[in-house]
Amino acid sequence: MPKYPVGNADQISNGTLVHAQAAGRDLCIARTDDGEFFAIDDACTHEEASLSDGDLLGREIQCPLHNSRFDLATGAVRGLPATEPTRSYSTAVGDDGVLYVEIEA
Amino acid sequence: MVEQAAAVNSEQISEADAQTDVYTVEDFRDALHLFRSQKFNVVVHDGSEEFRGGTLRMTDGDHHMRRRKVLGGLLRGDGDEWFREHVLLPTIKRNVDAALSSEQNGSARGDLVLIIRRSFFQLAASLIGLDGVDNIEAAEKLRALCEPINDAMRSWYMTGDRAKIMQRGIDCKNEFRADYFEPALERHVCMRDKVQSGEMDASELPHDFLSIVASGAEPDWSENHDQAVREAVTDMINAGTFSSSYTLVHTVDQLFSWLDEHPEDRARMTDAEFVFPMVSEALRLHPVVPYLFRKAKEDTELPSGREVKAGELIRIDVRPANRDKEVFGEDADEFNPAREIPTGVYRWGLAFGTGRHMCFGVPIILGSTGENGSHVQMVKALFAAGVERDPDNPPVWNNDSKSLALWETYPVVFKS
Repeated sequence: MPKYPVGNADQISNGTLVHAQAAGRDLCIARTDDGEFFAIDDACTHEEASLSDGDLLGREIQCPLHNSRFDLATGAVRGLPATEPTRSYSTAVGDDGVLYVEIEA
Repeated sequence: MVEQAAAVNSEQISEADAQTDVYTVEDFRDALHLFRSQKFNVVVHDGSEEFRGGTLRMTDGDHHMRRRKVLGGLLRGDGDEWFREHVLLPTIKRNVDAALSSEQNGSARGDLVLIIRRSFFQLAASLIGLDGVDNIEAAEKLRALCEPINDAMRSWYMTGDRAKIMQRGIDCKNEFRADYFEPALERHVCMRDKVQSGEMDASELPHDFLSIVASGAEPDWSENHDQAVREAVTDMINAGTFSSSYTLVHTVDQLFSWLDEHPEDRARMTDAEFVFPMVSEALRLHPVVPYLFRKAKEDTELPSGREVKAGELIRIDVRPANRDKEVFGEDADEFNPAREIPTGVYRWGLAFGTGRHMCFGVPIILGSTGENGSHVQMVKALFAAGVERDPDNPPVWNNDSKSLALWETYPVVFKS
């Protein structure tokens, strides 16, 4: 599966969310408090708010507008009002220190 | 369907509305599209600008998104759990315990409309940050003050002298501001000053609307207290107490009817997983806001193929949309908690609207899972207390309503 660079891993602090673009998609990149990276589509499935403007809650993310929650690892819904999952992507930090996201062509 | 707006309402609706042909959407898919589409704006359709003007639910665009994000922060993250543990569950317990202690003629009795409405007034007061509304007597005093505000806000749907009802509502809103809002805001400003001077830790600030107003996080509210009062009255007092209590009384009524047919399910009424689909089904059948209006920003088309011209006013009638047989099945008019729902459709239909203007109170009413929201938790508490219809006093409809189905009183007994 193609891997796309989204930035230097060490420039994304623990406990933060950032917006990135790769393969024509808007992505929300999350780095949890313990340093783990996740990537999901940057649009809430309830209403198209940017999830990267939301709150990071452990391994979940909460939409800033209507408070829907999603599991960062799977994209599954963890809190209403969203009922449909968002898409999640595998991430890996390369030897060059860059964070890559795997996105199906 | 094209009809005169005046045909379904009293002649006291605004002249502008009465003279306007309004296209009414009753189809679920069209209604869903109208709620979600960026090609339509919200409009105050019922002359209630004194209450709803400029509020979250009546604004669009970046302005709306910014305020929604700020206000939603009250119930985001830990705020959601904090509200549930420190406000919602203690309030439900306090009010159900009070109902149980009001014994008359050998049984605890009460009016479900009042029990629920007072409970929601305590929730709303906490969410706003009002002082002293943490007991039933104080909630009743606030409820009595705010009742005319609610009457004014729904007067478009009711009979009576509308001008007089509106003026009384405005007077009560001003009284609410002077007696509740401003003193509480003053206390919040003092707390903010103490945080700024280092006398108090920011973590000690309450999770409420007035803390946001005092913080200046949203200039629309901190620089314009009229606007902040309207927000509190519209989104927290009106929607958070009257609308929420009406839907919950309908829900309990629906559950009583269900138990008439399925008495074996009574013990399951304290099982949140069992109750949630029932609450959702009751919300679908009894949406408390029947009409919502949208105005087209440009020429466009609805999913049904109906063309809409720029500037056209459209009325969404949530009641038939929530009973659309193509979406909810041939038995859409029936109470069936086991019904199959298509993907992307809520079990409660459009009871809270959807899209960017979805009801602000959804995280309170449904919680994060549906099962931990106010309605399921209140139903559980009432049935755990043995609530039943009062066999000696049947419930009474509010006969002033033209297009809202409201209970005026709903006497119950507790047989725990």
